[in-house]
Amino acid sequence: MKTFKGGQHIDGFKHLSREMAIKTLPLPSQVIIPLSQHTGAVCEPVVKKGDMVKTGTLIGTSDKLISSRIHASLSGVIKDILEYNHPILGQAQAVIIDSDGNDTLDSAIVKRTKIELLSKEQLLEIIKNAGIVGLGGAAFPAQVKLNPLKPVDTLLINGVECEPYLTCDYRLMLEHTNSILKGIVLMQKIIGVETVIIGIEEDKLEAIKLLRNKCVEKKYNIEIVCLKAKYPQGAEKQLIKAILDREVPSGKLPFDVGVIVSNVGTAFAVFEAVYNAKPLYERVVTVTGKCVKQPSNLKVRIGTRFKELLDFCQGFTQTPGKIIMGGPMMGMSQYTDDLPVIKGTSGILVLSQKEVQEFSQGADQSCIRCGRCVNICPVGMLPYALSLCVEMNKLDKAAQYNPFDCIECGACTYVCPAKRQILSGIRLIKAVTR
Amino acid sequence: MSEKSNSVDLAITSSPHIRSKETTAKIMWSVTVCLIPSGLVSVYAFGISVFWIILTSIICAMASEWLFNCYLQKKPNSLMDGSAVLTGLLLAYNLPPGAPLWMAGLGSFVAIVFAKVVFGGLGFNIFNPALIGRVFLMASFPVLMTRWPALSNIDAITAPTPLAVFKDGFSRSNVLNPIEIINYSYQDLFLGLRGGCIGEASVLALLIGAMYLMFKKYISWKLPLSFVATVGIFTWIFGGSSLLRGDFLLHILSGGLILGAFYMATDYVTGPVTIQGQIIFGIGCGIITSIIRLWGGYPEGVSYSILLMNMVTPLIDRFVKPKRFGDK
Amino acid sequence: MKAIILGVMALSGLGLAFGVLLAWVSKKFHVQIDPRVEKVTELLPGVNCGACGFAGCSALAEALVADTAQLTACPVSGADSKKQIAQELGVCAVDLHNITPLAVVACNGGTRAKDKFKYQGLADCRVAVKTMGGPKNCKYACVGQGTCATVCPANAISMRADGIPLINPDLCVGCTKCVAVCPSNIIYMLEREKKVYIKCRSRDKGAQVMKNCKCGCIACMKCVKECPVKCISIVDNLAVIDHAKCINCQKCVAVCPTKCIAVL
Repeated sequence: MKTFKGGQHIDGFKHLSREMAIKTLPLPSQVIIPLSQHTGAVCEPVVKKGDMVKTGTLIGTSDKLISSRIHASLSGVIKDILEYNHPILGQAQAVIIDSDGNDTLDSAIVKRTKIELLSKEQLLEIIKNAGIVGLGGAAFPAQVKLNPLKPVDTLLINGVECEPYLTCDYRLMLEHTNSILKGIVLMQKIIGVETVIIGIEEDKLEAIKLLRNKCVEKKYNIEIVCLKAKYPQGAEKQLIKAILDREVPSGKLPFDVGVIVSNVGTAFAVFEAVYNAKPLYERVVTVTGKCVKQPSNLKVRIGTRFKELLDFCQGFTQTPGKIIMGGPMMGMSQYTDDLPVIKGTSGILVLSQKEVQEFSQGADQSCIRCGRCVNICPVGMLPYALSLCVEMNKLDKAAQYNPFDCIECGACTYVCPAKRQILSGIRLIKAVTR
Repeated sequence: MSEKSNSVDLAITSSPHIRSKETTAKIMWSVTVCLIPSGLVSVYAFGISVFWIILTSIICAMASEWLFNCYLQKKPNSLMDGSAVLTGLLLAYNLPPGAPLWMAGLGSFVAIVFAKVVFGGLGFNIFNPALIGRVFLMASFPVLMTRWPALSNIDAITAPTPLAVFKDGFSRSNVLNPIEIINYSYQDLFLGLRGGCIGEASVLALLIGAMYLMFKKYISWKLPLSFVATVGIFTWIFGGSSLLRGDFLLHILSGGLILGAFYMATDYVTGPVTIQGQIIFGIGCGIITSIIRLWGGYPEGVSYSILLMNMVTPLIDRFVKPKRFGDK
Repeated sequence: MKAIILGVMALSGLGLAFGVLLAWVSKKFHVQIDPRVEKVTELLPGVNCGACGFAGCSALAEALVADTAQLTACPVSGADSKKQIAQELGVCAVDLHNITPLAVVACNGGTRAKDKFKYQGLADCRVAVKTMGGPKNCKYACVGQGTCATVCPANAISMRADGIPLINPDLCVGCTKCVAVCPSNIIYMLEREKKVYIKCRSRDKGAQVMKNCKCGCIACMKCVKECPVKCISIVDNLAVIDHAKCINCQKCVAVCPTKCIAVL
């Protein structure tokens, strides 16, 4: 079975939500749509307070190259444009829309026909207008990624979902198999490559079987590769290494080795944008955690408050200690549930106070140089050495250990028996030496 | 619900938000537990006095740790991480069964205070503390440290260890088959009916514990293997009356090689961090051990070889680094 | 007996031979060192903090003697020693007035500044402020993780129980390391003669400050009105003292309703 060097299997807790079919969350009465949900330039609002919008109406755009358009996810009235809580930035400009309860679609959203006649440029324009970003987490604008500066020969589709707890991509692969494959074929056409490979971890056998059958049935030229289940298999560079045995050097991007990596969720969004002319205004979010009463996979409108998702999952069984946007390894902990779902929100994980205490117990003991972090590091760094630099307050000495190679997967910190906050230290070094 | 989570009850840290269940204390206590079978064999072989030596050594180690680390330096309580207990236990295993109790206590005091606490405590020591304790005792009380009692009869006349006998014979270089003159069969050596230090009594018991440690991935099999294999190959080549005629099984099974290779050379703090570095470390230990055993002044060289290689550890770590992802 | 005499003679002979050799070598390979370098090095503080940009005090001394560095490069040494160095070097002691400033903390909050959330990550201010926009409601507040105390070469900074750093003026050598490291930019250098300073950097409106900590500058104008030499002004909702004009009368300290004007 293919894999990369380093990494380790981490108990996934995926069973909490993996059998839960995707449910659609009832329309919220208000959405908060931040104008910065992607990597790149922040959008300028094109609507103002009091404007009427429909579902899918453009509300924010930017003329910068690396940016992504923002659309209304509800029909209703713009209540205000102001600073609001943001799950990544803390605070950011957001458009607040009060629902009129009708969910009237924008007039531009009609099913397209004669898809096969669309040229590469037309398809890229559609994707740009739909505001599609990479839905794996980094939220990189899709129209930029699919139009690489260098020639590429392979399109990799990331169905790994190696983050513990999260199951939204898995459910998407099971329930929207055909749409995802159609989306992949569209991306294949845009990039103009022959080879398309979908990488999926061995613990998602059903998805692998289903995708393989459909590919045979529809005669798609798509290979499905079964990968070893271990963290961080889904990291872009590690996925390329595992499937193609190519290594992307530090500071380089996948297209430097002739590869484009895209998430299955993105493929689905591309399908929706091209076939149904639907902008990216909703996504699948896994709401999970041992203290969530009913862990679920929910299709929600961008801008819905976390609180509404959690309430839909019937609240908590224990006192929550942490609310995390994303998975437990790379997600960000939040201080409130009054936050909007953004395009990059793959999951909402709630850890109970008990779990938080367990995980924070005995933090920052002295390093015993056991070498676990060195063995697990997927990019061949010496995390313990960087951590010691921070402890000894010798940040200037850290440069020799290549801190900028770090992909911040957090595996070193996970395995550390002395419970040192290695990754925090590396982030500090990166911030200070930049 | 909303009021609750909007209050400051929610903890904020940067990722990752989950941790594995391994802790330093768990690792240390596991190694300690894995050493118990060997101690039991020793008590069976040499009598109950061995138990008192072990107990004294552990208690003194813990007392020194508490006094110098927790009480005088006001550091958080480090007794429960098990490192002091492990040091005390390993030191006792390196003493002859007839050692007086005060010597065990003094040894652990030196091990903890001069080899560990003065360097900054667990994680900062350069040398394996238990071995420093042993070497200190060897230098200070050579007679007491090399008085080997006969099996099950601790007050009886002293009986030499297999290696001492071998050394004697080898230096006279008229012995063709050393295994015959040491009065033990390979089976005896393996199962543990022979003279030697407390912890060296049974290779089998040591290996049982080591198997568990390797199964739990607390130690890698590569370092002990490279150590033992190097000793085997080296003594096979040079250990006999002529080249390639050495009795390598005798060398592997006797002395403190197994104890040293599986429990002391694998000490995290004083060994290299990378697997490749650990293999180099093991080979270096093996060569030094063999040289001391064959041509040096002592019958046994495991402790010195590990201490010498401890010194080289920073150098190994400096030059042996994992391959940087993306480098050709 | 013979052996002893022999031994003594051999050793004495060796000693003599080496002595002669050493004497010859020191003459032959003598390096002329400007004696002033040694004296200036002695007059410099000798803590080798590196704040001057040179590799320690002796390196600065060499540069001073070679006239490639300014006397003001050393932020640590006091006015007296600077005067002595100036005399030693024969240069005019240029305005040596107020060249040993002291670091002060411009935040009155600490535990009184309301938490946005409880930060439990790495105990480093630089990490804390980057986590979700910082753990305090007030974005100008001290986040209290004590990074200034860790970087201080003179151990002059300690964290008070109320969560803000206390800088011991007797120990502070004015190296400005804490100023550089503080991510909230609330530590700044104050000349020692200037006794009065504002313990707040918040540009928030008064009502917001009252919500956040109740002890910052609320821009109430009382100090501005009280000041006899009109050296205080309000800029962006924050009182600013013009230290050039301030006469240390400390009248403003008495009228400040939130007690955020402090005396050294």
